[in-house]
Amino acid sequence: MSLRRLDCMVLMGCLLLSPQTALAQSEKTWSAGGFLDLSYGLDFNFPDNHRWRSKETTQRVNELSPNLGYAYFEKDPTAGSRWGIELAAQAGRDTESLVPSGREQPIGGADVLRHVARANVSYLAPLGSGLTLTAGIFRGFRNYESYYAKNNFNYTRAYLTDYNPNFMMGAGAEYEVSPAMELSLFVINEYNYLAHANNLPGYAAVMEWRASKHLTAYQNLYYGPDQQLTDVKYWRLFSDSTLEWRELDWTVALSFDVGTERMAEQPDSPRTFWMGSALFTQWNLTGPWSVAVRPELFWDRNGRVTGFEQFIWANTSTLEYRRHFGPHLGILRLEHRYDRSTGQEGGFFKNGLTAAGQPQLTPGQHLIWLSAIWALDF
Amino acid sequence: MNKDRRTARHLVSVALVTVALLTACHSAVFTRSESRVRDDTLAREVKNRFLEARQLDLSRIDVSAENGVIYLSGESGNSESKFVAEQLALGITGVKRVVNKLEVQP
Repeated sequence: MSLRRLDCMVLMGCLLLSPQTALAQSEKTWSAGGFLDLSYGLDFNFPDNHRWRSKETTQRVNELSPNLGYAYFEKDPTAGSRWGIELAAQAGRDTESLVPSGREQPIGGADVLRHVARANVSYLAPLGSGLTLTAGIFRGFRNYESYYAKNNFNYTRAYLTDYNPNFMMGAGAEYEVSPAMELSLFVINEYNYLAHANNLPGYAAVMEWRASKHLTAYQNLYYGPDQQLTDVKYWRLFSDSTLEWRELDWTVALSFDVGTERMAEQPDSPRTFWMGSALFTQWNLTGPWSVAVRPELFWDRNGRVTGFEQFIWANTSTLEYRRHFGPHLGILRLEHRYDRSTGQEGGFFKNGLTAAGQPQLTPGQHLIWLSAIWALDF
Repeated sequence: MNKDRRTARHLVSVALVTVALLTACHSAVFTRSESRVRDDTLAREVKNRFLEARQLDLSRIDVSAENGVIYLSGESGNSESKFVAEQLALGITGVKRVVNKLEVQP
């Protein structure tokens, strides 16, 4: 039996088993499913602690790592049935760093809440072209790269993705100004949804605009208090901007993030500053095969977000095989990345300890990742 | 010495996996079957429809084709654009069915 024939039989089997494909898809307003994300990252520095320093996702190296398991149920709000609901649970290594540590205090029950990826209700109000109101735990900024590797060009995420508000807790309103533009406003608890520094809310705004056939712009803004002292002068200001150019076989997107905040607890309240940028590129070779290259940089001038004063640049190259089988989706990625961290407190872990018993650091880090993602949607 | 051995083992494993994947990639890219060519053409036509439509919610949709079946995945702003995407894809000659996995993100 030829491989192609075997392939067809497997595909047919999956389609027959799929209740989804036999139905009129567009009539469905609910969906359910999940995915599993497993990877092995080979760090050529062989750190004894198996950790990737300054990284929030894909932190564990030189071991098989179940980075994420995710299950969801959602009912979309529509003109015929205006209430919607979104529920999703998640577990895995990537969720560990969602709970704040160090300077930030976690909210009560944060270690349980990190497993709640979505828990919100929405209502599509009959106003103009549709005003959607949402409350609960929902998706954070529309930054170009998703928190979930399944949706991205590369497997490991850029530093700026790690340090964006990927989840939000609060309430928001989204309005379609035109078919090419949407605006959203949110009132949320904190920049980091599982942190609790004070009882005042923070504010976020999102704009998505398809400027032309090929060009789309995204702009996210955050302004709010994230320290115990809540004077306006201590509020955090953060901006995330992206321009995307999309062709049939390739896509290029440039993201730029910048954040600033005065440190209330330090003498003279010095202004902290951080910024990051990444160029996301992907080229679809043929069918399920794609390659992606992503150069990036991240400057944490005062160590406010990574915990260390450092400047990081990195380049990531990925070969992807992505294929659907009925309701199933399989994604295999082979990835190389090189990271370089310099600055007063920069560096990545390497094997061995210093005289003080701390892990040794080195400025460069070569990594090879092999990842497998399996998703199922009903 | 143990560390050197471990490093060597890791390197050999990674090299083997890399060679296997690149070989598979090479054969997939350079020996395209007729059905693969047809599917790639279909997927391109669907992507082109989405580009031409100029709607915001159609700009971040992943399109792939398998034996004439179009798979839509990624994100969509509302259920209306999810429906529009499906109808646009179904309107293309040669598309047997559309499997719509678009996630509506409020």
